[in-house]
Amino acid sequence: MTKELRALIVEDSQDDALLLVGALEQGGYEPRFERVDSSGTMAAALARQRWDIVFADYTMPQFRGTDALELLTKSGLDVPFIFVSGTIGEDTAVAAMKAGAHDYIMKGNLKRLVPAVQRELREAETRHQQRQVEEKIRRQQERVRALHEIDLAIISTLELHSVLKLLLEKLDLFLPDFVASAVRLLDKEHGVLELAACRCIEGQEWISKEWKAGAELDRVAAETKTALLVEDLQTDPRIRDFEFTRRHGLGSYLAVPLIAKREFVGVLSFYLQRGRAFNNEEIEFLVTLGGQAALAIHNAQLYEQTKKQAEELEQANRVKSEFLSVMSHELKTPLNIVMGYAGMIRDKIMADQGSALEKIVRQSRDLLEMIDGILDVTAIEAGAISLRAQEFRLDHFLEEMKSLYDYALGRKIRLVWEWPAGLPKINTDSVKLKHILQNLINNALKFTEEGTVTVSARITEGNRQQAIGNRKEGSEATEDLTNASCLLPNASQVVEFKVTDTGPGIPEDKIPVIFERFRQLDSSTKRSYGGTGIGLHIVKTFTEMMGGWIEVESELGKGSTFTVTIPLET
Amino acid sequence: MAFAIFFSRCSKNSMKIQVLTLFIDSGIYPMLVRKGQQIWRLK
Repeated sequence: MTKELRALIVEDSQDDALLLVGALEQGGYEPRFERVDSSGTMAAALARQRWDIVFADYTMPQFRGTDALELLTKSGLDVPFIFVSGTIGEDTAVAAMKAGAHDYIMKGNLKRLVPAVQRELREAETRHQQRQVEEKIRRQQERVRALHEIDLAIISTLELHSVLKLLLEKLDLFLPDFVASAVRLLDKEHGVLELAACRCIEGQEWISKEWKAGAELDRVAAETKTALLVEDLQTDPRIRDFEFTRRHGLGSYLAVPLIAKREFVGVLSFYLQRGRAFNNEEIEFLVTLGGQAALAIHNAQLYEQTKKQAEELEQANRVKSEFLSVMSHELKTPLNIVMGYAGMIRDKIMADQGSALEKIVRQSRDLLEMIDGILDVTAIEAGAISLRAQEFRLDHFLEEMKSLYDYALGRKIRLVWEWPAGLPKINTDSVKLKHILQNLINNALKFTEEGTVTVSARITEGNRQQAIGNRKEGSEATEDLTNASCLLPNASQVVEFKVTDTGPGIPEDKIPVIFERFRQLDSSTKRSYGGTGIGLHIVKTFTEMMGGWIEVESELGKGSTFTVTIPLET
Repeated sequence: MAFAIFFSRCSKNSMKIQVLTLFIDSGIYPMLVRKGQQIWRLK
């Protein structure tokens, strides 16, 4: 069986060239040869195609064999080069071998030609394989180095933004010709992928509505939890906006899911320019990098979470200290009054003991209410409060409430009650409802120096979601609708209680915190109004326990309205 | 000290009661209230 041999023969004599070809044919080769006899034709032949071997006459009138060898060496090609010459002295042969020729053959003795060709082809093949192995090792070393550098960079910080920035920046080490890269992280709360960082394409454009295919492809990788490779983004049917991909010259796409400790944290995606595909080594590297990056991101997220928790704890601690200071002041004030008047009676100082006793009773009652409030909060936190629903008539309930305030309010305040006739029965916890309304009314009375406090009730239809929707449509009021578990499935009959005052109002930025435990707008001991700051927290908790929700509308200097909505059937 | 002098020298009981009541109602100076009551008892 003959073997094809691409041979370039540098020879001025066609006969000698044919002689050489004949010898090769006899040796079992099928030469595809070209004869050249000048520097120009040889350079052109080398550039045109790959050659298995080059034969060159040592002595030619216009182009010497050594020039041919120099030309081949300069071209950087590793092709066996054999001198074939009519006369060659020992010194010349040694010089030729030193210059890089692989062998020399005498034209008069071509018996050595075929074994020399076989040997040189074998050695060329060995050299080729060795170069491939070396190249592979070099690339592996580069990958390890790049991975190590990226590792060092991303573990050098625990700040998530810096980790992502460094990760994308250091990709240059391995993929210098990538067009763009992006990291999308899983928003655990909403279960969606959010763009966290991107490189080379301006961030806003990625986020904008203009192009969402990247996000969609990332989602595919996120769902399958495996790497996703798209050969050409400009023809892939999943892409809806080819204009974007074409404008940025995007071609190949690779998405690597980021999984740390079996937890999916996001997707790392890479884009190459059109016409350049990811090879297996790159895919393998980027998948490995994804694993490392996932760990770094996971650690940074844990760090941020811990930092946030520490800040929250610090804030809670501060609020508690503030509460303790307020509490000690609030508890001591009525107690001092009680002790003061009790001493006056004991020492028979006051003739009018009736008014002193009245003050003692009132202050003791306030003190008891305060202690009850604290115990309620403790019980709520311990989960020891349960709902005791019973059916009762709303109008009777409101009449009873009204009678509780049937005394002189003092100052210039008017308490107005408004409810329509024929209110239906309600099935809920009347004790807690009473507590809610009393708390709101007492607050309104406490903060209103002059004017009117209006308590109203009406039956309406609605649910929590509608309440949110209505708010967003135009009202400036702020709602506090945080507990999703209180959502009513459909619109149903609800009773809406409103307590409106003409007091000083609540600043808009303070509205979100008034329902928090131990929070008061002014917690200094020199403040104008008393209280422990737990009343509204209990009101909100009780309202939500009853399946309802509470909203606040307020305007500084004009007053506030607290609206409590409770379903007729708890 | 000024309070003790006032309480020892003031001859009008009604005035002393007014001062004590004022201090009790405003919730300030509980120490003075106790001091005043003590002086009254020793009288």
